[in-house]
Amino acid sequence: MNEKILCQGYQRRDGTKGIRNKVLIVFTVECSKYVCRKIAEYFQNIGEDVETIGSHSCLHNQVNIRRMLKYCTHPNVGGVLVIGHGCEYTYPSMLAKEAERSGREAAWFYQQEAGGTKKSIIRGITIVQDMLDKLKNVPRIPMYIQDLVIGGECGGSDFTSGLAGNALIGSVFDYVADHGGTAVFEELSEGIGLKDYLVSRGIDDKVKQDIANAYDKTVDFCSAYGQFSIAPGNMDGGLTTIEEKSMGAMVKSGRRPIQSVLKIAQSPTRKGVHLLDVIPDEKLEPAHFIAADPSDMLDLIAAGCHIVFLVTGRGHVVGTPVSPVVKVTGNPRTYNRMQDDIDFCAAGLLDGTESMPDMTERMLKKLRSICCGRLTNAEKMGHREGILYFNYQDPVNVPKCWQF
Amino acid sequence: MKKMDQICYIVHETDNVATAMEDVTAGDIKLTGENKNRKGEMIALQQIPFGHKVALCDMEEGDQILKYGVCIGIATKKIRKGMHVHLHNMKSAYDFRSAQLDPVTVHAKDIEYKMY
Repeated sequence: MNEKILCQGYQRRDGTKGIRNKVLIVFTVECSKYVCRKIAEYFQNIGEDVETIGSHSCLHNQVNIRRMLKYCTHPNVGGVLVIGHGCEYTYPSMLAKEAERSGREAAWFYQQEAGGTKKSIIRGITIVQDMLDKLKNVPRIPMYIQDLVIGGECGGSDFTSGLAGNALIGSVFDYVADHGGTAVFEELSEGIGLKDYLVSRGIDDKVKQDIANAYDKTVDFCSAYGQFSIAPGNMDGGLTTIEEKSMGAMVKSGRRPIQSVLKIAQSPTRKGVHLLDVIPDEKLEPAHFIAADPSDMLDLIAAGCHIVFLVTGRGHVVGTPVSPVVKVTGNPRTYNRMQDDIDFCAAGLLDGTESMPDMTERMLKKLRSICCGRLTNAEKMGHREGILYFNYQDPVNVPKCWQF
Repeated sequence: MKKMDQICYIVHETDNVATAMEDVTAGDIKLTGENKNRKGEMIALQQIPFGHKVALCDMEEGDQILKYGVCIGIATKKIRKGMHVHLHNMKSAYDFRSAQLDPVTVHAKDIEYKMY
């Protein structure tokens, strides 16, 4: 087989391959976030790839625990330091144990036991320095499209998103699926009005039923709260209804069959395109879980995405602590205004100056260079947003429709 | 100097709206994209902001608005060919709330910004 090498990936001991070699500092409650941030900033200032992520609440939440476990064992992550405050429900030791079991460098402590802010920061810096030294020896191994998991997300949509930016990512999804790779998309709340279309893409009867169930649950959820995924900015940009936005949004998943419906923090078990369901299975106020684009991207990353494409029409700036984010717009005005933030302009599809195959090739080139270590604009700018909101899902059973 | 064509883009051949590729002023527009069911030129009756939709035919209240070849909403009043199609004359078939937003500012009218 004539396989083209994508990049030299980082070989993890659990068999996965990463495109980054990060140390992740995890806080188990808001109270230990400051110490984690300070340690990370020390290393960020000297150009090391050290990031923070964590849970903000004293209480714990099953979905959040599953997410954090996935970040601690993510292919892009080589080492994990978990710092707790000392009285929260989430156990830093349990997160560190799973990270260690997956072959990552791992350590943990409580800041109460370490002696407070200053001593914790010094202790953390010592631990992370040691991890970074060890991560220099992580073997490099050829990585192919088959090893890659990509994610697609849109944020700040306008009329160009469906016509250009998402259409381009749909074409990239098709390429990745056709070459044995894996791609994940979500935003069922932006699939409203498209049940028949989405169900028709299920690979078999079971997946079709899963898609239908997840769709019905989403409509119930949005109807119950009167909150559909269309906001004033979208309307200003020319989108009038959720149905119109939906069609534009779903274009980014390409045209290949949907292999499965994933719950949050579940990994695809086969190659191809997968739909991620982020809607709670149980009744929950939307403010508790509907966050924003960075949190949605972190859910894609909890499914294992090495890299996420964020399509925007109105403009976007965000990144994530775990995986690079490639921002794409089809709106030439937005690109000209926000070139420091946006990585790729897809406007050529609208004015006819670039064909879809040519633009797809240009994007794949970009993808390869980012996999090889070239920084995205979000990484250059130091964007690392993402708050983990509570959610309630059962990863085993298919979602049931809500009863009202 | 000859005025540049004002372009409106049709996504799917069955669509009854096209998308303005720039801020369109009332007057002649040129239709691009999947335009084989339409004459290449028509007249915009009013201003169509960048990215917004223009009606390609007369529509009655209750008619489906078609874009991407799918129904993206329902006309809430009579719409004449060449008119701007947006929140003031169409609504979602699902999202009852967005139809109540202020059509100009698109602000929600059911949330008050008021201090007590």
